[in-house]
Amino acid sequence: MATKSYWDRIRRQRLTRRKMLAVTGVSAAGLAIAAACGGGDDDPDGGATPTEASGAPRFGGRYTYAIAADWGTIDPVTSVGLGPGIFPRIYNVLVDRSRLQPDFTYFDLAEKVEQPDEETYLFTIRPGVKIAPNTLGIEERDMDAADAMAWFDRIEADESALQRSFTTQWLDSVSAPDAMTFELKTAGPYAYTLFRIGAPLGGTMPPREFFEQDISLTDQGVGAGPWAVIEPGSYSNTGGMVVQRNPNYYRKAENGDTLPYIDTVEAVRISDRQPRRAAFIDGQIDNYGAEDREEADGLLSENPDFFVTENPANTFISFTMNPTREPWTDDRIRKAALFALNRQEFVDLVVGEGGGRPNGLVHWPLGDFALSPEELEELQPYDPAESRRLIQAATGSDSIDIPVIYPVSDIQFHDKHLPIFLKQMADAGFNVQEEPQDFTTWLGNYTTVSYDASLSLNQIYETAEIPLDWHAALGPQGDGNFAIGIGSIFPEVEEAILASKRETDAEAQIEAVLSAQRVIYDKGPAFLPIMSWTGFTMYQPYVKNIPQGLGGTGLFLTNEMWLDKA
Amino acid sequence: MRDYVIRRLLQGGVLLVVLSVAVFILLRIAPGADPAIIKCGLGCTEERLEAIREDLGLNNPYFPISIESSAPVVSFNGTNQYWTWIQELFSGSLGLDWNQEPVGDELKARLPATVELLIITIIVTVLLGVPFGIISAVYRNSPTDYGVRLGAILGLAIPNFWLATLVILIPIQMWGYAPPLIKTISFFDNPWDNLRQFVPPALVLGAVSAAGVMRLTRSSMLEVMRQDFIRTARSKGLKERIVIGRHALKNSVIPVVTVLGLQIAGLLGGAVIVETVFNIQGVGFYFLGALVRKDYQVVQTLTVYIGAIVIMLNLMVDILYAWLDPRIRYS
Repeated sequence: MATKSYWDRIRRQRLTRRKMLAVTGVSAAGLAIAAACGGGDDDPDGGATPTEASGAPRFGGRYTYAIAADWGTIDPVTSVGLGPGIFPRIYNVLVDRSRLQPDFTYFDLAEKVEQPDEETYLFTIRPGVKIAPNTLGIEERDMDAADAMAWFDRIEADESALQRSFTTQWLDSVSAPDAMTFELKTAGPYAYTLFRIGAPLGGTMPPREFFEQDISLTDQGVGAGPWAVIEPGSYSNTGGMVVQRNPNYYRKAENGDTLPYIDTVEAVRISDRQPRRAAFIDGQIDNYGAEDREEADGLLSENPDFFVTENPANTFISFTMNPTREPWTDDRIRKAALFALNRQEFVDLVVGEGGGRPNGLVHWPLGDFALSPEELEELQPYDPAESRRLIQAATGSDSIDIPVIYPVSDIQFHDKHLPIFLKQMADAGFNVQEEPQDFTTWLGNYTTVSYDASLSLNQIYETAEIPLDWHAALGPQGDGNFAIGIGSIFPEVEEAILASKRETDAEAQIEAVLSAQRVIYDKGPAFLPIMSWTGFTMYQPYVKNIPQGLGGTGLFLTNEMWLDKA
Repeated sequence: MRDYVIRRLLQGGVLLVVLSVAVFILLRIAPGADPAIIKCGLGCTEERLEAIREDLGLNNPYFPISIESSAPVVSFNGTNQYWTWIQELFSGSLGLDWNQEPVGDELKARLPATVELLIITIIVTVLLGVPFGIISAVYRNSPTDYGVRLGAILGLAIPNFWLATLVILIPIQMWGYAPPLIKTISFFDNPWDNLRQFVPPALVLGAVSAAGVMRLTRSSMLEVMRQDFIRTARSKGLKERIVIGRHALKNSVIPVVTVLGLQIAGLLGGAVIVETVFNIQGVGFYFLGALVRKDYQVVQTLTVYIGAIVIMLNLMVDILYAWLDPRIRYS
């Protein structure tokens, strides 16, 4: 009975007010630990098609969305957190291949990509990609290959550039044979090239004048994208931002007029969830990220005209073990942890039925790259008795003390995970010695791997590369930070992960990713994503043509959204 | 009086020096990563971390004087964090915050919102606290008195962040109404929307301080109403309204004024939370953000300035006290 009432309490807790606290902290290479959706609600994503757009598209209007944290900086070369939500509205990428629909590639500054061999990419620059009017003295000219070269030069020169993990590990050379051709060579075949160079996180490219004339990018932004920070004072790094249409934008609507449809996009700072929700209901903002299905349903019952997108969130909380420290050096203990977690129970208690699914080593929102539920049932069954048996075999006792650090945070769902985690681990023979830490302390320890084990915050990855790299010797950034990978112990793990990156044939790559996961399971993984959930983004009824189903790539298509209101 | 004011100002100066040292040390010994690590983020490299530490001046010694265990036992540091900060405190810019923006500019932009919020809060406090205190005292031990006192206890007991959330939630759920939440509106740009935005948080902040003022007004009134001069006034046949309004209230308001002055400091603390919940981009909002990211420059500077305001308010209250009650003399 006592157990039942405990879980009942947990179930009831799910109904209480939930806050999403935005924190900074997204790193290079798509590695992200942040509030879900980076603290902003404006993340077009979800189903497979744009929202139904009845009637003729309208030009004009102001689209307003809320951000929950400081920008910090809006330098697209280095900015993490909220920046990637706005960069596709200001700048351009060469191309961006959708991480959720790999058969969709958005061609932007490059209108064509050719691959004469597996390692060479020839980008043909689109003519007429013209820089917006601005007060920075940057000429309203067409972007060309020299801009791409200057961008790579900046990455080379800046230790903090987000693309450095790509350029240092995989880039062989870049060149511009002429103004309209840009050539990139990788150091060997690399399956993620087109995913990496165009990602909103670190992939958007400012005009070269910013670098040549040393113009600050931290608090102003002008490019050849659909909007620009045109008026001085329309950006505050602790407040909001207003971007206005670029009359020079190259993309045209069906009627031949220049996109974007919407004149002005405004990001407003609302830190707390409740005022954000109130502002949405009151019509002050145009979208809102509901916490879960229950809240989305509640809002729909109040106003059935709200539009809601349901998106698998590429986000999860993980249990991380340090295999260089006892007892996690023993693969039996790591496997005991693997079997200790009842992931379905996390789903049921945290987000409810239909709100999410258990994760394997690659999270389920990545579709074919994730192992099937049936196979996961075999590879990571919930079996606390087996956990105790393994602990017994390794230590001579059926229980073991384990220190576990975790950040004290009310970030989305984290507070819900903790009691479930503690209970499940105790059932499986792990006596968790809790070491709660403030976020910054935890982050420092997590980065430098100064811990035995950690229950870790939301991590957002749009490809299978980073979840697998957690098991690689050099870690998810390829520079030794966060490195707890058992690849440093088992060469076959390292080889399997590398093979999954080098396989450029789409079908074969999926198989290589699945195969790498099986190899890691066999050796006792040290990084366990627990579950991912479904995100529910609500829109005002008049917001039309929301790009969906493309992940971050959809942000490049927000210039096709329009507002059906006067 | 002049000597008293000078003495108090000197004491205040010493207090501010102590406060500055205390906040400087406490921020640095508090658990958690230093601001450079936070600013550096997850993709941090040793080189970048070092560059940020250099930019923020975190590699400099803390104080002008260092004491070592080996010779030389005492060394003098030309460039040090404390003295640099103190110099910046007296400069126009007040130094640079975590985002390399002048703290002074941020404060200048945000101060009007906070000042307006505090002014409306004080008005709410007086309008609610004093009349209810009088009513409670006049109708002592009646159901009215019990009701008012219960309300005051609730006001003191309810955390303002919770009350603030309710003040947003209830109107939006019941009537679909929300105050302007997306940006801070200046009174001079749009007075109506400005008041729609500032009155609800002022009510939240004022509920707490009004409760304190009400209780003090009540006890002060009760004490005054037991005095001989009140009995004399009544025996002269004055109307009760005049006895209370002209004689009792005037004499019982002195401690209330003292408390009101001191409450401004408390209201500044409350503004940190309430401004965040109501999304008012004031000084409190800025302070909370700085605390989260351990922005030394902002937290230190604001703490010392708020300390200075409290000291000045205390002094002003004392002077006002003497003005209200000519019997009081400072020597």
